[in-house]
Amino acid sequence: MKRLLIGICFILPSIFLFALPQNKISIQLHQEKAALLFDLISKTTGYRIFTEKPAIDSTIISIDVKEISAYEALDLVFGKSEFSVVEYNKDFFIFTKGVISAYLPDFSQIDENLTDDADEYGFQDESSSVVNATSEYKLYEIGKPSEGVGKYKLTGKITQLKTGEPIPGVTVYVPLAQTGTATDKNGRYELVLAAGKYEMEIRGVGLRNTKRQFRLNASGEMNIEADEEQITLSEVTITSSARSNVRETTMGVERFKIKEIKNIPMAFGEMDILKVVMALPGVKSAGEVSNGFNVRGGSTDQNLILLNDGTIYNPTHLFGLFSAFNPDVVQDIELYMSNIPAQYGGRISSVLDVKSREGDRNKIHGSASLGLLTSRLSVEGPVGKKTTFLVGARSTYSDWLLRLIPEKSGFNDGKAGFYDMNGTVIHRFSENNKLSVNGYMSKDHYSFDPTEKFTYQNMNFSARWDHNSGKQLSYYLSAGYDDYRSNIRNTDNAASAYNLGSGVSQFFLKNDYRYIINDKQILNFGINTVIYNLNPGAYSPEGSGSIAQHKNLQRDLGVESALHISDQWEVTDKLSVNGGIRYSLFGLLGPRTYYRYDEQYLPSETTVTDTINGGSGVLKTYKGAEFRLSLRYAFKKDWSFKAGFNTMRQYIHKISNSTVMAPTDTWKLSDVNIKPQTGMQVAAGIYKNFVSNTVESSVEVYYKTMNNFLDYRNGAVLVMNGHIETDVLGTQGKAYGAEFILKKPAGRLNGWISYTYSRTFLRQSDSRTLSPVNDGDWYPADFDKPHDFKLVGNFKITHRYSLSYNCFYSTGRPITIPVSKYGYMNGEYVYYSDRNKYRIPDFFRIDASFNIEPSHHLTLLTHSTISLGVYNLTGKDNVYSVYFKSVNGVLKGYKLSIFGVPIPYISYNIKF
Amino acid sequence: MMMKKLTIYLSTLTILLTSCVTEYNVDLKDAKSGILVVEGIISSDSTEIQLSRSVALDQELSDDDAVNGAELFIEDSNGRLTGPFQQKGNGKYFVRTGTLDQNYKYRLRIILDNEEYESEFLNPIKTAAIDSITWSKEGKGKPVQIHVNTHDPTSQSNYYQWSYTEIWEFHAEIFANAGYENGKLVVYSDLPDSIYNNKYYCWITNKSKSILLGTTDLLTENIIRKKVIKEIDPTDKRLSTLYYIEITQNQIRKAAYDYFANIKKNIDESGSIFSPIPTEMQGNIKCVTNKDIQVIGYVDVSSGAKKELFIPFKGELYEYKPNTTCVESDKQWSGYLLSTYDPLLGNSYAPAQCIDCKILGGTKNKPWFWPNNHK
Repeated sequence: MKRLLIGICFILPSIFLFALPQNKISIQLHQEKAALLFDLISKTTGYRIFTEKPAIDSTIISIDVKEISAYEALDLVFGKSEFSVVEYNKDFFIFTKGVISAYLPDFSQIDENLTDDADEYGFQDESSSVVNATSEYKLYEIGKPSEGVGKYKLTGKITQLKTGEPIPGVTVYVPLAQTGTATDKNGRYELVLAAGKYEMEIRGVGLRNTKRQFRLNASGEMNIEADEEQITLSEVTITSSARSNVRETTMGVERFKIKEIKNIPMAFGEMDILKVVMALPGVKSAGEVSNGFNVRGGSTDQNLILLNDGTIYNPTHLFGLFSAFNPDVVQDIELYMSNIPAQYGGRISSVLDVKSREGDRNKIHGSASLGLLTSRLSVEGPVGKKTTFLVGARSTYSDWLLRLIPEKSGFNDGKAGFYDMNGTVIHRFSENNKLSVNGYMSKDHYSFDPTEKFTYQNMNFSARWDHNSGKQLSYYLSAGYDDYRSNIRNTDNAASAYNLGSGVSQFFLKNDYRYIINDKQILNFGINTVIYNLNPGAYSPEGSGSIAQHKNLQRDLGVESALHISDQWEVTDKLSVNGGIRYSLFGLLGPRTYYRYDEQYLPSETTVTDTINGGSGVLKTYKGAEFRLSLRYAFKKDWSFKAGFNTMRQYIHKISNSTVMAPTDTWKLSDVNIKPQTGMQVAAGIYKNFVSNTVESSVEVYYKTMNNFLDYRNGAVLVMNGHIETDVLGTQGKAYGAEFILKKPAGRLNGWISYTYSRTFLRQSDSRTLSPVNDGDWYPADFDKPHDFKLVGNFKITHRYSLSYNCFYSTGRPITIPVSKYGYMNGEYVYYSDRNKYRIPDFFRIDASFNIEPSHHLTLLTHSTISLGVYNLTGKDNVYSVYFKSVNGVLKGYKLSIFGVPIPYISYNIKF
Repeated sequence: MMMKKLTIYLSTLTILLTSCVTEYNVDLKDAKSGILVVEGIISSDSTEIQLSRSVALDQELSDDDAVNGAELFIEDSNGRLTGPFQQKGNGKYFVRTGTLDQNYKYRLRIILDNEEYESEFLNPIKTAAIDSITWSKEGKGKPVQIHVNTHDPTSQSNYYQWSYTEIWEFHAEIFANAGYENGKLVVYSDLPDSIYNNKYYCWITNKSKSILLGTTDLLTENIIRKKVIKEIDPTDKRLSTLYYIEITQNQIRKAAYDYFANIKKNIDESGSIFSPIPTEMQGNIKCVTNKDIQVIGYVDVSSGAKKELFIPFKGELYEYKPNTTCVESDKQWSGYLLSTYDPLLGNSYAPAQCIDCKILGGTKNKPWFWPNNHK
């Protein structure tokens, strides 16, 4: 049992994440033994490298890197094979994945010749003595004090202070002699040192760092008892390399690992990926309860949200209180807001790429959590030697929460719930061939009153084969099926009770290659295809008494294919460019009946000139090149300038007239009358790192345009509309802004502070519009919040205690409010004039939490984590919306706040 | 070896999320008033048009906003004018129209303050008759629903609009057998049908306050079945004695339906989380002499249909809740009126609102067609 717990301690505490090395190295090796690499790294950086087996040292490797950290270099070579690289306190450990568990392997330092050579000196084996060194401050004499000058062998055993168990894998290092080793599985170490006075540093995973002072007079034994370190028990797998914001060519990209963000305080203490995304500069949302997000002025349907290559059409649960991604199964998240790599396409604003975790390769284990809002379960582990699995499920029972929300929000009479399930199976055929199979399914249901029930569901299946053939070429082939459907069942009136469904189905195929031309250039190229089959609306009677029609709008069928190629070229040490082109081709497929309209007028039912019954085959094609260019010029190692130019095309549109992503939204493909959306962004920025690269700062500016973005005509009817072109208007958009960020990704104090100034404007520019919104002038978009300040921070007071803190401020979003009121049919109605002319009051919120990590007394069977927090600490009643209601004949203005009071929470975790 | 980790997660909310809706006063920089509002339908038999002007948001609507002194005509596509309308005060205009000819189009013309306004020429829609008005109650405590049922075999239009006038009779909680009229004691029982009963029986007239719309657009037949027009709380005095409702039905065209649905949506659906963005639609009436003048309203052309229903007191509909403050006392407190005149045993008194139905908003305007002899 004790060994088991030690093993848990060795599941790589999250502290590793915060101690990425700073020293950069440049290494060029071709078909050399790994030992040489270790040697080079040791010499340049002073890090020491321990390998599990000598076999690792003789592995033949090739590497050609410039200016990367030692960890990155090692990870590049070993991280993708069956080895794992772990950094700990200036030491690196390389071991077979799946071994680091209850028992640590027998580490041997690469510098094996030390002990081998020792014999040559011959030990001056005098009366060996045994010392039990317990204090850091006492000087221990080994052997009788003498004027010994030869080399002696020092051995000893390192044991747990509390239990007396030997600890394998502990590093002992003698700085003065620049020598060290690691303990074997019996906890024993052996060093050869010249006689003299030394200090020995003892470090081990899960141990408190300690040291011993000794004078070596003769060969002898020094046994050491080590105390455990009080840190979190958690599982972290480090796979992808650390990146530097200064070095990277691309700009406007944010990456997170799930562990980096777990301490950000969240409403009700529930961790949420999209909420973290929304805490980034450049990302905005209409309000607190909306997971549809707006990136640099783009609308909510202009974000490509990928989970394991599949597209998630509705990334939210429970009206946006939760995101669709179960944090237990997510590995990392990437958000591209500016330079979007050429391999991605189909949306004009951003790409959010979420990757799920690989199951544990060592043993089967699971985790479960029970909460007041959700409960989760996940199980993972190996199946045989080459296969792993990870399955997770989440469910909720949140009706009680809805009753607490104000009535006007339309929630509180309701019922709502969701579940989601994830599964990933990964099989490694060989070192170079990996097959991943992923599945995701989620379902939401809710109702505001018993006669109207809404459901929606996501379903995604994908298989991906990764191949790494030799050192130059690697590629993957990914194929899958995505399905999103929503449904409304209305039984308000038995005679007209109906069921209305809509959805998106798509097959996709991606085949992307990466070819390393030489040490300066990497070529990426590939082909993507998506075959769409959309159901814009299917209407059917509900119940036997209903005389509702069976009516199905014709399905939208289409194929979107794209070829892309991009070259990442390091022109000089300072200048690197990344140029890409993506050529996308969209074909609308028949059979399909459609209308032609008199071009002099906006399409409407009265301007139809022709009805065409298109047969099968391609009825309309749209095509175009998308350019993705970026460059970086590094003035110095720690500061650089970057610029980028991107164009994007989008062939699928969300049909909705609400500000946020509503669960009733439907999707529509471009067709004969609906043109694709296009977008362009130019951006530039300056990146500077401070304090040995531990603090990153940047300023980015951007200007963006959008065309053929769909806005809705006044009084548009969107439900079951078979000719949506008569209710929409092509709208132009422009956005610009400057984003300032100061970020400390690691350390005791970590987090970021950002300020954004940004504007987004829209214009109904079609001259055929008789009464365009705001007379055809530019007007601010619904999410135009010029000033936006965000602070996200975490401070570790000690290993056990930490404080987390968020502070958000932004200008209130624009709203349209009536300017006049009038009586009509004995009721009072309001008259609106210009859109988005007013703003709701500014938004401000502080969240804080105090986290107590578990103590790791081995005698304890359980470990508990407590998090005490307050969401909206100052209780500011941030206004979500303003509306007018007639009370006793007098129209009054009201404001709705969703979380208008401080919400304290305590979350208590027990692990055993 | 199987390792298990069970994480028990607890979270508490110590403060409930309450009172999140608060009053809000917007600084209305460009509040606008005075937009002409035209309401009414050109109808067979007679047409009534209401003209008024919009007011700033923070003002109350009143009779002062009615527009009087305008000259109104109905014009048909043959160039024939009907009118001018007769002014009835309070911005109401009335004209006899006769039967609308299906072969012509009709529009409304308004001359006001030297400006001319015209609605769009439209064919009359022949509104189908209301088949029936029905009511239902699902159970104790549940509201009484009043529905309209109709069908249109000729399918003139799939869009319907309703309005109603309701009248109900109710009585005060306590029947006073005597009272002081002009300082003089009057014993009502001496005068069984006298006007002094007027403190006991009252009538209230009310009109629909919202735009009621329906569509058969997505139905296989042009049938409206059990469309809820009115919901009455089971403790409402409407159900206590005799209730009357007269429903006016108009089949309207899609453009009118969309217009009314939009202004209704702008007030009913605003402010919630998934609310649509409010938009202002152009109605079908315009100022032809100055296109910068805005006008609110959609004047459709449709013959109306009416039907009425009486609902007398029924034990299963009305859930009587005794007013606990209506207790007789032997002392005449302030605000109390004489309830029982008894010179032998002594008088009793009760709160005025328990005796006088007029205090509860009633009037003595008993409709001529009222089928009982209550006075």
